[in-house]
Amino acid sequence: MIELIGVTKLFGGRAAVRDLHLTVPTGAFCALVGTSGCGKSTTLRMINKLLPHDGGQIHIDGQQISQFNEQTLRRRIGYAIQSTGLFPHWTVAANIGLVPNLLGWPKAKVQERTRELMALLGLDEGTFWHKYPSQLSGGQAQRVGVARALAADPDILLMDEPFGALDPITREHLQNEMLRIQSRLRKTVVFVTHDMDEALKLATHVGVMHEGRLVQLASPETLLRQPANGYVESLLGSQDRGLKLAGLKTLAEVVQPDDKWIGTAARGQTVLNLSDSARTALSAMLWSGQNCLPVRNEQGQLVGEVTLDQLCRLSESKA
Amino acid sequence: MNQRPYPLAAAWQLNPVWLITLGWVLCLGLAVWGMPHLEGFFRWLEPGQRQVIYQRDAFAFLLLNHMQLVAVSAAMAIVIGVGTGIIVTRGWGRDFLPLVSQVASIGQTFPPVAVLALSVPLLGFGAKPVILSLVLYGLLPIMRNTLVGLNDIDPAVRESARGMGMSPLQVLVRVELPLALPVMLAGIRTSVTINIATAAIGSTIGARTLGDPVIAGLINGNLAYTVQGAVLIGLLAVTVDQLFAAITPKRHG
Ligand SMILES: Nc1ncnc2c1ncn2[C@@H]1O[C@H](COP(=O)(O)OP(=O)(O)OP(=O)(O)O)[C@@H](O)[C@H]1O
Ligand SMILES: [Mg+2]
Repeated sequence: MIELIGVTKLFGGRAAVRDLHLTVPTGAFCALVGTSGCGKSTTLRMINKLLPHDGGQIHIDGQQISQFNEQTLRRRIGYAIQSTGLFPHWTVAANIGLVPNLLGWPKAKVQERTRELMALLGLDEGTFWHKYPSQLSGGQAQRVGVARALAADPDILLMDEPFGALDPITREHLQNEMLRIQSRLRKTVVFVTHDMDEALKLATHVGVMHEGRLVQLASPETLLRQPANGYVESLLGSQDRGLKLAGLKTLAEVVQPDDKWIGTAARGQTVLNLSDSARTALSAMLWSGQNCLPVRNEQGQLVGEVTLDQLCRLSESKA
Repeated sequence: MNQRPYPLAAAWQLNPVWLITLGWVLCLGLAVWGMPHLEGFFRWLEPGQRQVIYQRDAFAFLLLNHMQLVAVSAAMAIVIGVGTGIIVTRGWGRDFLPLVSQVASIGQTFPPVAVLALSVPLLGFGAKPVILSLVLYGLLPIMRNTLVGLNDIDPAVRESARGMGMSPLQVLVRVELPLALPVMLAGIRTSVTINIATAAIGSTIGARTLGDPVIAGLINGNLAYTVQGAVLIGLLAVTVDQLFAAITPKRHG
C-alpha cells in the first residue's frame, strides 16, 4: 500500500505538488491524469525518492519512506518512464537483468528471470537477447523498459507514461498486455498518463490532478458518472461520456447466458463476443443497422443476444 | 552477466586498424635504427658539414626520453582533467563548473614557451618545467571532452539508473564513464598528439628529447640534424595517434 499524506513539493518557492492526499491499496492500479505540468511525474518521483518531498509524509506498507535507504527502496520498486532510459551500451538482456544483478542474484537465476520476462512481454529471445537499445523500435524499447521494471518482481510499480509516443495500435496492444500482466501479477501500480481513455481502461482508481492538487480520486465508473467539477468533466470530454462508460462494461455483465441458444446458428453476419465491451456492441449495431445482435462465448457457441434497449439502460443503472 | 564486452574489449578484436598501427610502430623503429645508416643521403643534403648524423645521444635514447616525458605528463593531465570533469558534474561539485572551465581555457591560451620560461625560475632546468607546461597545456582538451561526454548523456538514462537503485558510484562507473569514454578518448588523443610536438620545445631548457637534434641543427645551421629530429617527432605523433584510433570503441547502431 502506498499512502501520500499532505505531500508538498516546492521548486524554487513554487509548489509543483500541494497538500496531496492519495492512498493506493495493495493490488490497486492507480492512474494519475491531468494536463501537462500538473505535477504527475513529480508525485511519482517522490514515491521512490528520486525527489525529496518538502512537506507531508509518504508511507509504503505503513513505513515512512524517509526510514528506507534510497537504493534499497528503489530496488524494491519497479520504475518505467516514457523515454525508457535504457542503457545504450548494454544489451537488451543486460538491461532487463539490471536490478536482479544489483540485488546480487546468482547468474543462472538472472538469466532465467530475463527469459521469463522476455516471454511475458512478447520479446523473442533469439532476436532480442543480444540487441542494443538503438536497434529497437519505440514499441520494443518500451517493452524492454517495462520488463526491466518488473525484473526483480517488485510489489510496487511506478510508470510514467510508459506507452506515450507510440502509434495507437502498438499502444493498445501494450495496454492489453498490461491488463493481462496485471491480472496475473497484481502489483500495486501508480501509472501516469495524460490519456484519459488509457486511464479508464487500465485503472481501478483514477486520480485527477490539477495544478499540483488531487481533484478527484475515484473508480473509472464513478468518475464518469459523478465528475467532481468542470475540470474533471472537461478531461473526460462531456460529449462522449456515455460511450466511455459503455467502454467500461463487457457484454458478460449485460447478457444472461442461456443454454437454449447453444447449437443454433447465427442469423446475421455480425456476432459479438461476451468479452466485447458495450461500446463495441453499440458500434456494431450502428454499423449493421440492427437493434439486436447475437453473442457468443469464448468457445464460439452462441449464448444469447443483446438489444439496443439493454445497452441504453446500462448507463441509467446506479445513476 | 550478459553485458557485452562493450566498449573496450570489442576494440581488442583483431581489426585492420591494428595492422596499420603495427605498421607505423615498425616504421618508427626502423627510422630510429636506420637513421645513422642514411649518411649518404644526409651528406648530399648538407655537403658543407663535417658531421651529418646527430651523435651527441642515440636516437633511441632521445625517443624513449621523449615518450617518457609525454607519458608522465599525459598521465597527470588525465588524472587531473578527468577527475575535475567528474567532480564538477556531480551535484555537490556543480558550483565549481564555471570556475574550472575558465581556468582551463586560460591555461590553453598561454603559449607553452611562456609557461616554460616562467617555470624555469621555479623548477630549474631539465624535465620538471617541461612536464609542468605539458600538463597545463594538455589539460584543457581532456577536461573539456570529459565535461562534454558526461553532459551529453541522455538525462533519462541517468534518471533510470538512479531509479533502478544504482548507487552514485555505480552510476558513474557503469553508466556515465562507459558512455562518455569515446568522447573522453578523443580529448586525450588531441592532448597527447599536441604534446608530442610541444615536448620538443623542452630541449631549449635542457630536457633531453627528440627536439635536441632539431635545436642543434638550427643553432649550427645543420639542416641534416633538424630533418632527423623532425622526422622522428612526426613519426612518433602519427604512430601514437593511430594507436588511439585503434583503441577508440565503435558506437552501437
Ligand atoms: N527539476 C525541476 N525543477 C524545477 N521545476 C520543476 C522540476 N521538475 C518539474 N518542475 C515543475 O513542476 C511542475 C510539475 O511538473 P511535472 O513534471 O510533475 O508535470 P507532469 O504533470 O508530469 O507534466 P507532463 O504531463 O507534461 O509530464 C511543472 O510546472 C514543472 O515545470
Ligand atoms: Mg510528466
